[in-house]
Amino acid sequence: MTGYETFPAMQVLFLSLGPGLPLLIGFGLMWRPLRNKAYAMVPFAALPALLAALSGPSKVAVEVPWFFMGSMMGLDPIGRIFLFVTALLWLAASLYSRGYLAEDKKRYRYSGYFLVSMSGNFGLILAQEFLGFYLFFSLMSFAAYGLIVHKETGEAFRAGRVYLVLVVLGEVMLFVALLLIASTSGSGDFAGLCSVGSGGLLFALLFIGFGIKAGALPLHVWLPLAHPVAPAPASAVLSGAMIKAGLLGWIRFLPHEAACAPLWASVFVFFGLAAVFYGVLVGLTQSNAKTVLAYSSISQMGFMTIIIGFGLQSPKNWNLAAAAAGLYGLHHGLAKGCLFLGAGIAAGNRNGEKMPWWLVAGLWLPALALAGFPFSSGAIAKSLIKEVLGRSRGPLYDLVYYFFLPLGAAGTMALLVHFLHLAGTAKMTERRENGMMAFGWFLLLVAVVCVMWLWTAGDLHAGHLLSPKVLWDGLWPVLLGLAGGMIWVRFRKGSHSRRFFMLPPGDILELVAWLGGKSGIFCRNGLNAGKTEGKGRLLRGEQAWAGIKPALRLGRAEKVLQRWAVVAGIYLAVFMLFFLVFSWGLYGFP
Amino acid sequence: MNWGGLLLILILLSSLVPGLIIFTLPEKSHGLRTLLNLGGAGLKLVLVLVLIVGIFMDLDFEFRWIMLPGLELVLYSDPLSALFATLSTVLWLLTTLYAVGYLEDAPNRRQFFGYFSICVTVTVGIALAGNLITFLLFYELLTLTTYPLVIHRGTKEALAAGRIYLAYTLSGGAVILVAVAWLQVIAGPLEFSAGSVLSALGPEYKWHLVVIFILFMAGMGVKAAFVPLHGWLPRAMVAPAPVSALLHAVAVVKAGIFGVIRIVHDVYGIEFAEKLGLLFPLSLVASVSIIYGSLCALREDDLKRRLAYSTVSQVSYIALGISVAGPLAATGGLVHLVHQGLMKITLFFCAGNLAETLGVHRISQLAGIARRMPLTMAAFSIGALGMIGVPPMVGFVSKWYLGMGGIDRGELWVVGVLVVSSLLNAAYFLPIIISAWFGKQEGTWPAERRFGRFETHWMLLLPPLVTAIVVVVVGLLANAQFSPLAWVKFIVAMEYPQ
Repeated sequence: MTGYETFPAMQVLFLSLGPGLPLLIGFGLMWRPLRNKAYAMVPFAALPALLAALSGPSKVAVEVPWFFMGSMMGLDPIGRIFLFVTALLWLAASLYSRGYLAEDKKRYRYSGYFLVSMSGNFGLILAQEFLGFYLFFSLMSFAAYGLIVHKETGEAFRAGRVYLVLVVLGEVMLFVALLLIASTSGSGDFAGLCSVGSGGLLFALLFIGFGIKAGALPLHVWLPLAHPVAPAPASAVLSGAMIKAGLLGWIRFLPHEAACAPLWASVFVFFGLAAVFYGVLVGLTQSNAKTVLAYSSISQMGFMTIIIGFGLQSPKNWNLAAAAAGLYGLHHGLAKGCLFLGAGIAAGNRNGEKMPWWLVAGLWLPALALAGFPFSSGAIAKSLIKEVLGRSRGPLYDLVYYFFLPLGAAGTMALLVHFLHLAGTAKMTERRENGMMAFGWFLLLVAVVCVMWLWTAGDLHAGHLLSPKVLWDGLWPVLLGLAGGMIWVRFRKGSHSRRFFMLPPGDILELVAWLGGKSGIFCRNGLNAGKTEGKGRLLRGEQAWAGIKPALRLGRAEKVLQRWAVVAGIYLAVFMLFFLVFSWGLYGFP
Repeated sequence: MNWGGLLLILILLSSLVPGLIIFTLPEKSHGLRTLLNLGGAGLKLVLVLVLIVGIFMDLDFEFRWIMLPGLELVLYSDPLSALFATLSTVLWLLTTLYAVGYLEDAPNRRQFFGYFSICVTVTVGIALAGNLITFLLFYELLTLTTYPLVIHRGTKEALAAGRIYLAYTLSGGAVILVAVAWLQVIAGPLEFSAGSVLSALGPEYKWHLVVIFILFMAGMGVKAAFVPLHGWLPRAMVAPAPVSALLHAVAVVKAGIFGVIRIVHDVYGIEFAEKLGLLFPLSLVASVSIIYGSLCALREDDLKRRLAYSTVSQVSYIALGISVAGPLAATGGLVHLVHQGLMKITLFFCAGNLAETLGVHRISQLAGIARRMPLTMAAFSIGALGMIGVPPMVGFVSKWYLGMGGIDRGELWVVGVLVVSSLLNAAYFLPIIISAWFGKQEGTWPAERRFGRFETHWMLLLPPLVTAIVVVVVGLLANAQFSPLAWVKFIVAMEYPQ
């Protein structure tokens, strides 16, 4: 408990209500007499967490030894950044949902899954030991399924299926990683965890386990499937808040003082870089605005992966890198959430109607911020990355600093120009905006403009950000991206070969499904089922659902085994043999 | 006779007497029968709680009666028997309530409830048995008293399943009898409380002991449903739902695995069994059962049969835990005795509700069923997620300790088994949950019945809700002072003195 301050009563209340209130309201929704009252409370569910993020001493924790496997909840500076952006996004999304689903019959069910995911998301940030983190991480991951399949189309179910398969894989990998951590470090809290060195296996498990959530390559396939089918506010929290749980997982769990970190540092940097450009390139071929945003998230998470990689290079970089990654997450979460909500409003625009100026402005603002336009939140975030990079020298550093970072920013801008074009020309697919939706969106818009400045006001060198060189460094990639994006949009519009430049959403998933189908590992349509079904229903026969063909012919074996005489013979013989062989091997004959 | 012994006798009588009275009552006296049933179950619960308090206060509980020279009937209670007795008693109370609701208006209720009550007597007898002879006596009685319950419906299919059940379990019993007799000849009467006397035998008996152990495992393995001795279990699914709950969570399968624990811990002793090289093969058998059971479950469309194969898999977790042989793994295994019981009984109650209320038996009929029966499916989902090992349900706690135990002993493959098993569990449980909550109902339910104002009869609804809540609460409070985990740690601390 060293390093933590004592706990003021108000803070205890906020902290326990953070994950607690959404669950309570969720329970209220289940009970019919309370349902309408509880539904009216949904927009307030995120408030305690937001207040907790904004108040209290800088580092607090409370131990609850009887809860689960002995738990500790609290806030540290990193957790505070995550809690703030997460709570703000959930607040905005719940306001927006209120308007978005006003006429949806399934709004109670949606709100239930929404609240449970919210609770999990807050809880995992507040958890100060790893089993608590895992508990809330699971809660969030499983509940989010209900948000993804909300529309109940064939595509939604397919996206949900892919998501769930990856969630289960991630859960299992994290389970093993936790076992490895727990068995080598005595204590359960994060402070005692830094020095664990369990070699490459632990790193691989953590990289994949959290990478699934964070959309790291090649585990990103669920993002471009899930985001376009989920309701707009759900996409906003998925992309803004929930995938950040993977990032927080890396920050919390990676044993950054381990000896083998340099190798893994390079792995993180490499995969991060790959994601930055892969996301842009594949995103440019997409024709659905929200899919493009999903690829943009994959690309942006790449930047955060790079920061983590540089943090792993040496223990003295770590704290700075973790803070920078957190702040980058804050910036990206707000901007991306804002874009998703704005895209939902744009999609409700009537066919052929010109978008109102405020909508255009409200879409361009976060887009420019994401690309790192001078004075935007992105400019601050980029300067933080550069500060982390400045700690290390070498060819990798030069390459990233002078080449990949500006190029990545240009790519981001080009991708978002593509998005803005699609958003502006899309057919009307969503309901027309109303006051609640606009309110939620506006809240995030304000946050995009000012939060990053306020948060970093204490320790930023504002003068540094204003120097002409820095301004120019921020500006030229954006201009390059703008030009590139415009050319691409033009080209795509005019080109007959447009079809040639279309990759299916989920890119390599198609390849996997095709290979799997060819080789007989998957059932026919195992992964593709529901894709072409249009207004589909849930698939019959869970074999198609699971997607994996039971390779064994168990039926016949079971029939034979149900004959008693056969069994008795086999069993005694096998059992006898087992014991004889092992005893002999161990001790020799008597 | 001392007070402790009297308490043990009373615990047995509290269900035996109501059972015998029920046989004499006319079929129609529904109220009195229910009163006797629930009264007996409630009284037994109170007595078992007294027993636990007594064990906590370090009192001795023992009852002896010499049947024949050299054949002594011994009842005694240690923390392990209290664990099993408490589990059986608590779940029994709920199962009885459920059975009363389930069999409303069914024929032959007198016979059913009579055997039902005697069955719990015998199960608790197994828990309280103090030596091998007593254990064997109750173990065989369990076979005989559950048989009428398995064939209760009297259909051709039920009778066939009953025959197979008898063939399996009686043969298993015979094998155990041989083992007990053999052991008696070379080591004299064995009491569980005496600790391992076998290790004192000379090296010339080594092969005797190895073969006897194999016989024990083969015999117990029938009821514990080790692969390939599990054939009777999926067949026995024709029995009414409360009987399935009983077979899987409370009595029969649990009696088998409890026997395995007794043999390994109290007859051979962990250290000696390991020295003889007996534990590693056992852990292999358990691992095969875990994975094979899950694979079989994956291909079943009948809900109850899928649950049956899931039991084959889950019960072997317990055997895996004790055979990996470290304090952590043993904790995981023993606590799963309780945790698996809680989760599995929830699942069977729910499956019974679906069958009884809507006539739904197959997984492919489940689409959209949660809209009609939300509470039942909520309970089912909690049980199923627990089986997969999602925190905070109790299944996670078991898996966590098993995994820690495996790593602790340097046996990383145990973690591999857990991983494969969890993935398979997810593959056969998640589709059910998803289809129920998100699927669209097609046509009408096969045989819908209405029961009052709830989604089904309250007596059918209450037990699964209670057990589902317990599954979550016990998981959330795993580290609390009075959780099953704490009790199991107490047992393990005695077994593995530091």
